[in-house]
Parts: sequence; structure tokens; C-alpha cells
Amino acid sequence: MRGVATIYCIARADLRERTRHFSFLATLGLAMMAAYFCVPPADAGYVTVHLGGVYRGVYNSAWVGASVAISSLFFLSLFGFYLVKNSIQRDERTRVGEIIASAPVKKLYYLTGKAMSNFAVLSIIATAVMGVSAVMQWSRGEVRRIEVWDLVSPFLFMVLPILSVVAVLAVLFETWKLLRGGLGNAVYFVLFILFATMIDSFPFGVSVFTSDMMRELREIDPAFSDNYGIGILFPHAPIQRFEYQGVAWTGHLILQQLIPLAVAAAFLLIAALLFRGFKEPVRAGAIEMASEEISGADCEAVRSEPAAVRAAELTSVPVVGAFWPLLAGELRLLRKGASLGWLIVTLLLSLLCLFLPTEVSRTWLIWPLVWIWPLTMWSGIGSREARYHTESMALSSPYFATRQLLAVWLSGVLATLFAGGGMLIRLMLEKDIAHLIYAGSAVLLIPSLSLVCGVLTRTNRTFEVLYMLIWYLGPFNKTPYLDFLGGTPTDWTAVQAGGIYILLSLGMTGTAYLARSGLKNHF
Amino acid sequence: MLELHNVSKRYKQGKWALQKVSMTLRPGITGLLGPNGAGKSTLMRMLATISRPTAGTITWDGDSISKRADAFRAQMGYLPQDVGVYPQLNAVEFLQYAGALKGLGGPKLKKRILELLELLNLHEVRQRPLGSFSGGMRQRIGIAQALLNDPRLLILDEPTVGLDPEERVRFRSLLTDLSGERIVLLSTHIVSDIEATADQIAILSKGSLLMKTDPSEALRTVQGKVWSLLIPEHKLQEARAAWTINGTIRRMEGLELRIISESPPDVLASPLTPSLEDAYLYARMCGGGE
Repeated sequence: MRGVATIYCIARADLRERTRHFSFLATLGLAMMAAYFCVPPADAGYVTVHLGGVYRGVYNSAWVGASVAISSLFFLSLFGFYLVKNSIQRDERTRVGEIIASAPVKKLYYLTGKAMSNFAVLSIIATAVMGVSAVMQWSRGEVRRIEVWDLVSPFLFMVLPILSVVAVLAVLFETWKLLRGGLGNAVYFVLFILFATMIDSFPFGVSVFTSDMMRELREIDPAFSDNYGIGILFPHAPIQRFEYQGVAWTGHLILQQLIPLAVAAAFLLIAALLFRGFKEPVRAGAIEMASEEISGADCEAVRSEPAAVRAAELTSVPVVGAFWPLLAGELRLLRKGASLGWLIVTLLLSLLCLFLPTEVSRTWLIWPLVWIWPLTMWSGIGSREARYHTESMALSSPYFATRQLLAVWLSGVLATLFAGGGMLIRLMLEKDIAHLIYAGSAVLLIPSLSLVCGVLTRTNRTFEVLYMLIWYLGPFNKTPYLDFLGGTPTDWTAVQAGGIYILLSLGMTGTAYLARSGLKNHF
Repeated sequence: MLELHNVSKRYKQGKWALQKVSMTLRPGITGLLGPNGAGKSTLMRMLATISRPTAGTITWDGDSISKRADAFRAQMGYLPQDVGVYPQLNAVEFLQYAGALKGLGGPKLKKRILELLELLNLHEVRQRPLGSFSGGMRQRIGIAQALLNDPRLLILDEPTVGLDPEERVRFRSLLTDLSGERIVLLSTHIVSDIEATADQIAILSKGSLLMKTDPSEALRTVQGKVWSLLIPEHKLQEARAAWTINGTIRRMEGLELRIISESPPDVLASPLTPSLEDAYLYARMCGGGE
């Protein structure tokens, strides 16, 4: 019982800390808005869940509940992971971890509490989405009668069990140093893509609903081609509607849907094995030796003779206002923030894109990797001063909003050119002007997005989450206009698209400038 | 010359961090004393142009610092209370970056950086990443970056935090060396930090300026108001409730209290020579700061 009480207290404290931030409300609002768009009116011109590209269910509780649950599952599984993957880091950052380290609380209890808090956050959002879906069913007016069980059961038996895995994975990734940062975010994205691609292979989850929907439709239309789609579809022909009755839940089916809970429990045990707590690293040899060396040097420095230099005789340095030393400093910060291994992989990817035909690069997924690999490098832009508490130094410098921000942005653009340069040159050699324009505008678009995210939210996670979301919706799901690499046909020509993306880049950079200039109001 | 006229700062929650602070700072060292939460850092941040006053004006050589902020920043050096560094850079690289932020450049910058590191006893560790630095070393890096542009106005917010006693002594002599024609404003809640160096002291409490004067005048205000009294140990609670106590020493016969009081607290109390800390406590006592 004591263990349960401990877990409850940890979860409660963490939940309170998390939900009392504006970012939680913002996320809740975003999820509810997404739910609104998941139930489009009949004349909206798009659908979100469809069968064969031709059918959707009438907006009764069974269809609305299932379709919103399915759509929000993908959204919450991806977005939700990044939202909650910070609870252990928060304890480290706030130094509450030092108090936890000196307390007799078991690691498993601590991690279970954190996982429960993660799950509670995601459940609150899922519940809000469920509430919105009820409102949307009623407001669309196709079937106004709300069947509570039909609406709730998809969330209860599909969304929540899978979210339990997401909640625990967030904890697991935080316990492993390698996966704690941007690399972990990228790895999860890859896992998510795999999960989304293979979703029908799992006996639990979405397939229970999609197979049931298709079975019911086949009874109405035997010629139905047995395929479905999740995502935004702009149908070319009018969508036909059928009345979906919902899943007939049996005990076996419910147990099957709860398999993810067992998976979550297993991940939690692994996390408990991996978690080292908040104690200092075990590589005592290297660290202690380094500490002794530094302390020794420090002690020696203090006991040494007074400095030969006097403060009044220091070399005077003129203020020249040169921009290039600042740009060099920003580039150095970018470079030093990346490991040698990361730089080597970046160079390798760029060279592969240069020497391989673009078709081969695309097929072998080198192209997507070129635009995802630098994620951790990009995500630091704009929020570095907040993360490392150097804002005071920056804000008290002359022309900080223009000089320093421009240097930060330009360093991001140059670094993106380095990462994507091989691809750009290859496109030029192949005279693929359209894709060259897209890729060229992405060189400006991505650092600008990162800059505005970092300056506005003062964290690198916003960009990481948003960029992954854009990638999921755009290049992966081929959503028009969001596929900024030009892989999905739209009404825009390449020149128009490039121009729009460049304008967007300028707009975002301008917004970052205004926000940075106004930062003094924050203090 | 730096002039503050009725400077006030109100935060969004409605709390007044500073109220109508007016003072003039001239070349020399001014120590800004006050307890935690008095508004010292708030004032420092406004002077460093990081934060804007809600009301009032701050002028530098007659010009408003908000209107000519960049020109003012070029002449100002600021050490924040919480020094942030980039852990992957070493000391030289970080100071080069800080110099670039301030618009400094050229070979003289590198020379000045090395001189500053020598002055602050960081020369031997200049190639180490800042992430491996102790708190005191980071603080010294912070001082170095504040001095890069040879500022006419130096704003130091709690500069001795994290420095051990020997480093603090070195810092004080550094300050004395620096002051000259420079305006140095140094905030602290540790009186001994400014006792030896400050030409002027300003005392803040609960957002208000209680006193701005030179140390000798401050001592005069509390002359004849500092007493020594020996009491039995069990009367300590009673004594705390009755008097302002600036020190307790355990003796064999009981507790020797250092009391600040307008009149002798007891017939057996004996007068003491006041210290600056006594003057500070007396000012707070009179200004309702306790």
C-alpha cells in the first residue's frame, strides 16, 4: 500500500507541475482543434477516415467515435510522446532530482509515478478530444442522438491502451542517455512511422475498427474493394455514406485490445533496469581524474602569485561592430553542439546525395534522412540563450535583436546548406529545377521555423515536435502544401511554392525578431 | 553619470518590485545592499537594459538609456546574478563570442581575453570546456565577459557568489583597480563585500531606497546605537522579540548579543563601535524593512 501511495504522490505532483503551464493548455486546445477538423461537414471537400476513397460513415456515435479515435490516435501517439517526454529531465533541470536521489524511494515506484503522470496528461487530452467529438456529432446534425458507449468505447479500448505504451516509452527513452535528447526524438519518429505503416499487422488497435467498418460496408456493397484510408483526402467524386453500427465488444476482443497495457508494463520494467537515478556518472576514473586536475589547477591558480597583469593596464579594444566574428561564433556554437560522429554522418549523407542519382537516394530513403538527421542541430537555434541562461549577456549587448538574431539565422542556413549541399548540387547537375527550388527554399524555411519556435517558446522541443508533425503530414502522408520537398502535386508551380516558402521564412524570421526585441518585457 | 529618477517596476502579478527609486551614480564604487527580494537584481536588470521600468527614467550622461540603448550598451558591462555559459566552448572561445556580441573584434580582442583570464586566474584552464568549470570559475568567466569592452559603467549583480574567501579578496582588489573613472555598481546582501571597497552605499529594502550615502556617514547614523549585552541562554527568544540583534556569541557565562537600539537595551549593556553591517540593519529597522 505504501508503494501505491508513493506512486500516486509522485504522479500527482508531476501532473500538477505539468498542467499548470500554459503549454499544457495550448496543447489541449490544439488537440481539440484537431478533433474539430476530424469531423468535417459534408460540403468541406475533404474526409479524414474513408473506405475505398468513396465511402464514409454517417456521423452517428459509432462512426464519429471510431473515426475521431483513429485519427487522434496517430496525432496523440506522435505529438503526445514529445509532449510528455520531459518529466525526468524536469527533475534534473530543477534539481529536484538531487532531493529524489537522497530519498529512499525505489526507482520502479518513481518511474511508475512518472509514467502514470504521462498517461494522465495524455488521457486528459484524449478525453477532451472525445468530448469535442460528441459536440461535433451533434453539430454536424446527421444523427443527433449520442450513444455514449459507441462514442466512448473506441477511446477506452484503443486510444488509452496505446497511449499507455506511449506514456511508458517516453519514460523509457528518458532513462537511456542516448535516447534522451534529439536522437531519441528522431528514433521515436522512425518507430512511429513503422507503427503507422504496419498498423494492420497488430491484432489490437486500429485494425479492430477498420476491419469491422469494411465488413459492414461489404454487407451493403459487395463490390467494395476492401481498403481504407486515414488522413486528409480530397475526393474527386462525391463521398457516399453508409450507416456504421460499431464494434460488438466481446470479452475476448476487449482483452485483445488491452495487450498494449502488458507491453507498457514490460517497457516500464526495462526502464527501471536502465534508470541510474540522479546520481553522478559511474565512469569514476575519467571524471574523478578530470575533477582532480581541474580542482588542482583551480587551487594552484588561487594560491599562485598575484597576476602579472593589472586591471587598469588591460589592452583596450575598439568597438567595430563587425558581423563576421559573431557569425563565426554562432557557427562554432552549432559545430560544438554536435559530436564528431554526427558531423561525419551528415557529411556522408551529403556525399551520398551528391554521387548517387536522385531516384536511388529517394528509394534508399537517403533524401528523407538528409532532412531529418540535422534535427538536433536545428532545434537548438533560437532557444540556446534561454536554455543556457545567456540571455542577459545577449540582451545587454548592442543591437542584439538584429545582429545576433541574424547571425543565428544565417548560421542555421549555412549549416543546412552543408547538410543538404550534396542534394542541391545533384539536382543542379540533373537539371531538376523544380525540386531544386523546393530544396533551396527548404534551406531557408527550416532554420526560420526553428528560429521562431525557439525564440517564442524558449525551448528546442517545440521545433522538434512541429517539424516531425510536418514531416508526418507532409512528405510522409503526402498532404498537399505541407510536403515542402515537392513530392506531392499541388495547384502551385515550383516557382510559386518556392516563393511562398521563402515569404513564410521571412515572415517567421520577422516574427522572431519582434519577439526577441520584445523580450525585455519578459524580465 | 547615471541618473535614476523615480524608477519603479511592477510585475504582471501586480507586485511592485521597485518603487520610486531615485539616485545619481558617479565614478567610483557604489555598493547596493539589501536582503533577498529587496529589488536589487530588478534594478540591475533595468540598468543593464534587459528589463524596462514601469515608470521613471534612467539617463546616462543626460540621455535616456531606453532611447539610445545600443550606444549605452556599448559602454556598459553586466554580470548577471546567474551566469550562463555554453558548456561546449572553452573560456577563450566563449569570451570571443561574448566579444563578438559586444561588437569587439580584431587581434586586440584575443590579447585582452588572455589578459583577463590571467587577471582572473583562469589562464591555465582556458582550453577546458566551460561545462567542466566549477561555480566559482564560471563566476569569474562572467566577470571577464563584463570587462571585455572596457565599460564605463560596470554592473555586477552578486559578483562574489560562488567565490571562496581568497577569490573574494582578489576580486575586491580587482574592483579597486578598476574603479578609477568608471562607475561600478555592485549589488550584494553580504556587507563585507563592499565594506572595504565602496565609496557609496545604497540600501534597498522591499523595493524602496532607504539610504544612499558614503560609508562613514552611514556609520555616523548608527553611532551610539550598537550595544553589547550578555544574557542567559534561556532569554534568547525574548531578546529576539524585543531587539534587533546583529550577532550572537556563545560565552561561558551566557550569550553575548550585539544589539542595535536607539537607547541602551539594558543597564548592563555596553556601547560598541558600529560596523557597516550595523548601519545596514539600522537603516532597515528604521525604514520598516524588517
